[in-house]
Amino acid sequence: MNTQKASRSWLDFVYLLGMAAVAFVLLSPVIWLVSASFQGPGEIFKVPFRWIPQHISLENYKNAWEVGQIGRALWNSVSVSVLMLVFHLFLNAFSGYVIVKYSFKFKSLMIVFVLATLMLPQEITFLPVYNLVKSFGLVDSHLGLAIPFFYSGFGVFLMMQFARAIPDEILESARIDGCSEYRIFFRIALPLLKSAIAALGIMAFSFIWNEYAWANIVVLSDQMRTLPISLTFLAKSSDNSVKISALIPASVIAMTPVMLLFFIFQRQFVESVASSGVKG
Amino acid sequence: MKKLFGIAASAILLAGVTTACGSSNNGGLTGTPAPSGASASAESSPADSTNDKFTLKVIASDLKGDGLDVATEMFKQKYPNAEVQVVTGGWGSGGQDLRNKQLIQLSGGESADVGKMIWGKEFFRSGVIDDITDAVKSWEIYDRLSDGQKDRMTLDGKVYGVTFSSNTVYMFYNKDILAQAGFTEAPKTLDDLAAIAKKIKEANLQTADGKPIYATSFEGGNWATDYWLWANGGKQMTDDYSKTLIDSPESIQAYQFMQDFVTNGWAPKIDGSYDQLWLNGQVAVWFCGDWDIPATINANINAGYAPMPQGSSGLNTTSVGGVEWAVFKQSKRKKEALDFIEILVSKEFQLKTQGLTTDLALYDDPELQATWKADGTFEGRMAEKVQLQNTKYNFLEAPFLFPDASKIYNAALEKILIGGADVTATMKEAAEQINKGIAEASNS
Amino acid sequence: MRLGVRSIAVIANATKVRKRKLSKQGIVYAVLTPTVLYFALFFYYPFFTNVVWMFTDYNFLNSAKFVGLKNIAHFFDDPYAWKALKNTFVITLVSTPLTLGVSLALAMAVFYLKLGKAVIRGAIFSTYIVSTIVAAITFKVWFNDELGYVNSILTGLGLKKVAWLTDPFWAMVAIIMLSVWLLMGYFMVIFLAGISGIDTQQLEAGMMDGANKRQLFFRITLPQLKPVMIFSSIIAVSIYLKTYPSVVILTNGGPYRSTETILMYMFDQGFVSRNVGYASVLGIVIFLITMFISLLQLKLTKFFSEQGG
Repeated sequence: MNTQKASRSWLDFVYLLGMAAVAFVLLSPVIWLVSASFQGPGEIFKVPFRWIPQHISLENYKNAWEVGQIGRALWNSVSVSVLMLVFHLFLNAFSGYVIVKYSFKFKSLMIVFVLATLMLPQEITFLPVYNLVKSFGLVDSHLGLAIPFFYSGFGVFLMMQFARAIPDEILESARIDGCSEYRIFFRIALPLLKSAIAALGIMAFSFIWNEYAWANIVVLSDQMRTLPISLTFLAKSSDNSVKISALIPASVIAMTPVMLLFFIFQRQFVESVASSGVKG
Repeated sequence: MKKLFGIAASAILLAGVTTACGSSNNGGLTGTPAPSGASASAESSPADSTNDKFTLKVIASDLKGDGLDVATEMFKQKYPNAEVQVVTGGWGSGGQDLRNKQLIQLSGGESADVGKMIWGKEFFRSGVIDDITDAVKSWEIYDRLSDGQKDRMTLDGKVYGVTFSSNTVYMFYNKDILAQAGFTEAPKTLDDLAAIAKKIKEANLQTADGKPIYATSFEGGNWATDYWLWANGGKQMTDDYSKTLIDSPESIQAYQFMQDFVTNGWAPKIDGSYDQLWLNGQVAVWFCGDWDIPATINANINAGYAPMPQGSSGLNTTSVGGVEWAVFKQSKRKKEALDFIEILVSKEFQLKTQGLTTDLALYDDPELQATWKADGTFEGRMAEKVQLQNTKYNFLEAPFLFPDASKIYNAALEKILIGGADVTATMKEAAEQINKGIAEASNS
Repeated sequence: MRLGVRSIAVIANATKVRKRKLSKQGIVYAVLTPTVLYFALFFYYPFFTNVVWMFTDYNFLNSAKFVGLKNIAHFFDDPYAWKALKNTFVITLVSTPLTLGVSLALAMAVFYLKLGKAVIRGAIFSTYIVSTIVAAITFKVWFNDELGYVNSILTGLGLKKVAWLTDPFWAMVAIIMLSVWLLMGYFMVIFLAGISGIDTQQLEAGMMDGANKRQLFFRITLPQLKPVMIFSSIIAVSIYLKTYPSVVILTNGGPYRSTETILMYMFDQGFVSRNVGYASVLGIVIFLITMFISLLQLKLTKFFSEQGG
């Protein structure tokens, strides 16, 4: 018996090693980025590439921080992301829940109305939306950066799927107990949707953190730049330089918060996708 | 409630359709641009307006990078109660990001007073920026500008912008590689370069880690390829910019010369890796500008700098770099705008910013030279000083009559230099498309 | 015929029910009116603006001029548009099955992993978190002909170097590789969820009947994954049809415009050529194609009947 157990855990370990190798290969571009961020521009392109840097230099990071004004950009990205997330998660959850749990006239029309926007590449809306945002006086502001993403067809769709899984009996019994509809949502449905919100949250955060096209249009001053814009600024300036040695550490800085958040909430996210009605 | 719902929705849709049919200058909802500053009367403000309170709006790519913080300070000395509001749009490849930003601003009816651009000819032709010939010609720096610089700011004899931060490419050469090939001096003509290339190929020179060595590289986009075209006697456009000459016999010969370099293995195929090969010590002669010197030093390349070699035509012309500053037609502060621009090309500004030199005379300034000696760019700068006397405006990088021409031309170049296609056929086809586009654009 | 307690209770209940029905409808309108307004403003209004622009010549600097069907006609005989469409289709039709296949394989592998599951899963998923732009820049450096990491591995293994970004075919391959890399982590997690939901009873029954691993997979696991597959395939297709930043950075549409995608062409026409009218046509075309393909996929898999209401 002992040898059987031993051989099984030995196999497990080998399997883990194999998968670790696979994961390493898949993740190698990311690892390369981190490693290259500590090396000078001359060394990055030396072949063979040194995965473990010969001299670790924080010079690049300092450069990126100063020239790219990454500190300011980080602050902007964080503000805009938080702002967008708060509205996005709440509004989409509420809408998805209401659509699925109530019957009303034009319900199917409503569903089509919302889901049809999934087919539209949002980029083509940006020019007219810019004029809209301008007339609200929101150009070059955090709110202006976030507002086109408050609702999304995908967000409502996802929330609809998750809300479907809430048993109607629970809602009914709350009603019989005399709870108002709003109370039912906030006290009962919302807690049940927690993992769904986590799932949508990480997707939405990952999106808005890296969002570039709209930010590029609505940001007018240096101080409002978000991280993706700063990255592009580092990539090409009018003196034609490609400051790749600053671009790489800036990319790493831009990547880190999302990675961290993901690793912390990984379990919730995966479990929520698992426990959802993704099956259909 | 329900009805309200439906009405609201259809009202929005209806509003959308009607406003989209564009009124005045808009393609969408009109935002009311707040009028900036005092006098709404005609163009220039009354004579003694230096104490006026107003806001000068400048649209550029980067506050610090364009030296606008320095310029603002200097501007406030003349206009103590004025504010300078800077809208930045980054730069992007070929200035696209900034251009897009300006287009969006203009289409929304908002106009800045001063704008940075390399598409001045395009905007001038569309009537969006002012003719500032009289003002600029009276400036003292005007006579010191080279032909190439004036090329950038003039269309049909009219001045529409002021050139700024002029630069150009020149020759970087790897002394070690040249020494290995048996040459002690940098090539003075393209024939010299061909000789070096042959020698390198014969000796099958390689770097320490076994990588092939090339004589030169065509990376760098139009910066690089324009030079080769002109050096060999080719031309991009007729002098009135009405027809392209990329399919003329001389031009075709020039492109063939370039293609031969690739076919012989003297230059690698372009793949967007820009200066990586140079920094890795695989390129003998590299045509680039000041911006690559720090990386060159960092990569420990034993580099020398010199003006470009002469081609078979006896010319070594390169495209004139830099940007231009223009005054928008809708500006209500034209005099102040011009004053701001004048500051940008003043000696004081150039000395303060130390990198944004427009006045060629300043290349001899001891203060600037000292800074250049300190950061190792002195030799390069001296080469650039000479080279800047031989520059020309290159139409096909930012064609103002038919923007697609740039794409068509670059695709053709790629076909020749990467795909090894037949030079005559490819260029003839591209020329046909470009000429057709220009003709259509001129008629509308 | 007195009003008994019961009748009073019924009447009271009826009033309550009516009140509740009203307040039930109240919440619907309270919540969904802003939703409708928002979508109308931020999606439908721009959409209609684009539709109107299709029939105009608009170049940002002058007011829009009505030109009827000129732009639409131009689309049909514009070789660059069709080439861009072809490229986009190639990218989509090759990347989608590849991504789904790789993700499924990874999901199966991770599912059966006993040790270190969370770490491996997290590591692979984190490839999705990397922004497209950053990933594209890295891949571009890696696929460099002379100094790229990929080629150095190939030569290390004794194979020939590949002209990744200078050959139209290999450039397309590089783009597809990047496209798959960007989404495989995401779909792996989706499939993992799907696999965990598989009915284990059926699997056990199958095993008892003597089926081998392969048969178990194809006969039992795969069919149960159908809904997840469909969902993933629709999402993947609609994402790949809009490929844009990855191509711009990796090849910029090159070499000689052989990898230009339709969204890229649209932006070029809109901003570089200042031909907003024509760009709108391209935008609407993308929309129509995405809608058509999604509906097609739904129809083919009879999703509608399962969806109900």
